[in-house]
Amino acid sequence: MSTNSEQLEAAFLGAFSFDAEEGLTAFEKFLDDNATVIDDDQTNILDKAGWLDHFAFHSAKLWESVEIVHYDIESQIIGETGVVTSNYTIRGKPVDDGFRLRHGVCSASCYLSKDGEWKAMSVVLGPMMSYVRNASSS
Amino acid sequence: MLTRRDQLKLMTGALTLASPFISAWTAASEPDSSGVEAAFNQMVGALKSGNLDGFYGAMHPAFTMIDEDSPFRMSKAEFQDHIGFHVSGIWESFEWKPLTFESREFGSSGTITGFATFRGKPRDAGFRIRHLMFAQTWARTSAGWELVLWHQSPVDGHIFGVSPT
Repeated sequence: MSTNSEQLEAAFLGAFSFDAEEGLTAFEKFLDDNATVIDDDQTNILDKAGWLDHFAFHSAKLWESVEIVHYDIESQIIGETGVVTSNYTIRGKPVDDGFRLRHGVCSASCYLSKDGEWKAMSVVLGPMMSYVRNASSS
Repeated sequence: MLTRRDQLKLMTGALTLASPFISAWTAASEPDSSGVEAAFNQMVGALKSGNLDGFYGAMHPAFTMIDEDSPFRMSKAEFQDHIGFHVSGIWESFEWKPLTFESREFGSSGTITGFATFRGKPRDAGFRIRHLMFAQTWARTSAGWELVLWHQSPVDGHIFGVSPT
């Protein structure tokens, strides 16, 4: 059973590799079918199908490179509930356009499935700028 | 350069567009007095009534807060210190108001995701309103449902600089 922090964090990092296997990305397998995603690109909360549609829009061979890099990963496990948080940078270069960098704070809420795998109930990608600009606005 | 008023107009428009979809979620949820949603409502009620012991009591000792006021993650003690900075008698009114949200349970794990608004008025200054999306992680322990993670993300960050060119 995947019950320690190292395995939880490995599941989290593996999901963001976006490796595809049998047509499913690692992130897609990490998300429970009833999971929600608060994506840094969206003003509405996405269900799994909505997030996959957004991901497909972005990944249709329009990038020369793109990745999400996580820093300062922390995790907690309480029983069969796990949380992972990190600072992250989305970095990439679209075809025919300049580099893109966006920084933020990420969290994943997870549960331990009956198969012993960590699955995400919800994932949040929160843009860093919004935690700085207008904080406790006057 | 957008003014603060322009930003608020844009944010209001975004929430209006999103509301039919989210409202449908809320209507589909069913109340359960022992469920994670009941624990969430109890915590929100404690905050609204100024019962900080009840509010903090909902949080597991290993609680992590990603607050909309800070780019740094906070432990429970750090979050209490931050709230202490804010509530030391310098507000005429203060409320964290969930707008639409959805709860889900996965065995002994639960999550609440939705929209919320912070609104308040400090003494000797104007009103403050800030709109957020949020996700919470709850764990059912021997003490009942306990809040493990609360991640808030201001909506404006999901509008400005999106997929930047």
